[in-house]
Amino acid sequence: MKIPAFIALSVATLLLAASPARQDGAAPASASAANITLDPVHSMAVFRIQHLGAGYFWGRFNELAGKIQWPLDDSAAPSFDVTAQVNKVDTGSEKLDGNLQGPNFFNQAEFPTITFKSKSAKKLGERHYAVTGDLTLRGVTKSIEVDCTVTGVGKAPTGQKVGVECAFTVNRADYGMKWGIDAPKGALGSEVKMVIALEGDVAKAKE
Amino acid sequence: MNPIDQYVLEVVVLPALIALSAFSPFLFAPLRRRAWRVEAVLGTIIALTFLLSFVTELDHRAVLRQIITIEGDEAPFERWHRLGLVALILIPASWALGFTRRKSSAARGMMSTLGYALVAAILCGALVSFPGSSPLIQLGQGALVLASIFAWLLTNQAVLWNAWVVFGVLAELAYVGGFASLAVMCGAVSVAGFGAAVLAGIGGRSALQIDPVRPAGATAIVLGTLTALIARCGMAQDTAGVSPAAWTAAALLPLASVAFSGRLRRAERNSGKTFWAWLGVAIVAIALLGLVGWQQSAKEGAADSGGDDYSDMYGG
Repeated sequence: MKIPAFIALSVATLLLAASPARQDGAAPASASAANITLDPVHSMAVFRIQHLGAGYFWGRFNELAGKIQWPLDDSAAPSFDVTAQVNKVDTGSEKLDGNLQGPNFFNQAEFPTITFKSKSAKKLGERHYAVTGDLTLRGVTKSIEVDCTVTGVGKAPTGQKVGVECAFTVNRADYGMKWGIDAPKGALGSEVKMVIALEGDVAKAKE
Repeated sequence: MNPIDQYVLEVVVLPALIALSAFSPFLFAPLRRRAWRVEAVLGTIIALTFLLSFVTELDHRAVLRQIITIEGDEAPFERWHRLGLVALILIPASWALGFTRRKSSAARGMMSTLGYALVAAILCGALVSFPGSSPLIQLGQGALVLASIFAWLLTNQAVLWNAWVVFGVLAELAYVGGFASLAVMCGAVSVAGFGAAVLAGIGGRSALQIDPVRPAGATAIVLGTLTALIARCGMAQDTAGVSPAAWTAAALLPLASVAFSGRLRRAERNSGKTFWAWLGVAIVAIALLGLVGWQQSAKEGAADSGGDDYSDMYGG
């Protein structure tokens, strides 16, 4: 028996709509997105900046906090709501940490947190996304694109854990952090490379 | 020229040179014969130097956005930027204060100065706040402004030499406290104080019947307001554990100008009087910096690595 063309076309359209390849737009698309609470001990952000036009030095923000939502079957993109505390900056030098928290850089007294909240994502491959979101730093909010990869789903005695690694580069002058770029000229670079390593606990489903 | 030298020239030296060049004629006869102009000019040189250094270090929008909305300006207001606005206001205020006191007797002039000092203290307590403030802290801030103005009134004819020292101390505390911008701004004012002191000394010898400069009216109010607010700002923004007591002591350093008041009274020449009014402040300033340095060393547990200050600040 011949299947009417319009029925075949409708079924094909429904199958395409359910395909995991379509991940555009705000995530999660799937109702089965897991709520993942960040583990502050195993979540951190590292940054790199050039010093005096010579070497690069790295620093980090410890104890990131926040949430990720992501379906464990990778049927939709992850969404992020992550906060870093400026007073958790760690460069290995207490004096340098203090300077970075001061008004010439992050100005911890006025802006104690740095946040990232995702708005949308584009799938680049398996567990690999370009996530667009708002980065708020020093009171300035700008939309940025972050390259994110879900690095793994593991098991712990307390339940499942999910790891995500993200990378992006910002121009700190865009956020009002200009000391050392033009004055004194070249003391510190303007481009800051960020690598964010996140690990979180998957919330157990309510019975 | 290397970038650090260029930076120091632009942010520290040039603002002082511009302010001094514009107003130094008032430190020489015949303009100097009007005392009210001298007090207004000294206040202007100090406030203008700070303002020029401020807008060079940041930009003019850091002051403007406190007054108007600037289209396309994304940067938020930072409370420490209020210092720039205060410096801007103090410039015309110097002239207004000097003008209103121009015909006052000594006693009446002092009463009006104290009245204006009270107004400055109230305004600073009510309208200028830094992170971590509370009503009690704001009350203390107002009291510090009043006390600092009073302290500057005691500096006698060493007022400019003491400005050189006091702003130098504030610059060092800001640097140690991790606030490079405030350090260079205070450095600029210190240079202006030194330059004005030299010019005022030369101007005083250039003609007969020229009085030494004194911290009357506008001069004391500008100096006291700025030193107190800078100290409060440094206290609020400090990230290296420089104690609030050290900052407060810096704002009240001019009180030490009475340390050798007996010798000052006995000195016959103006240069001797200036020296004795300056020496107490210099000694206490050195002691204060030594104490702060010792506290920092004890905390860090390491000797000063030396080398370029700005590369040392960023990990050496």
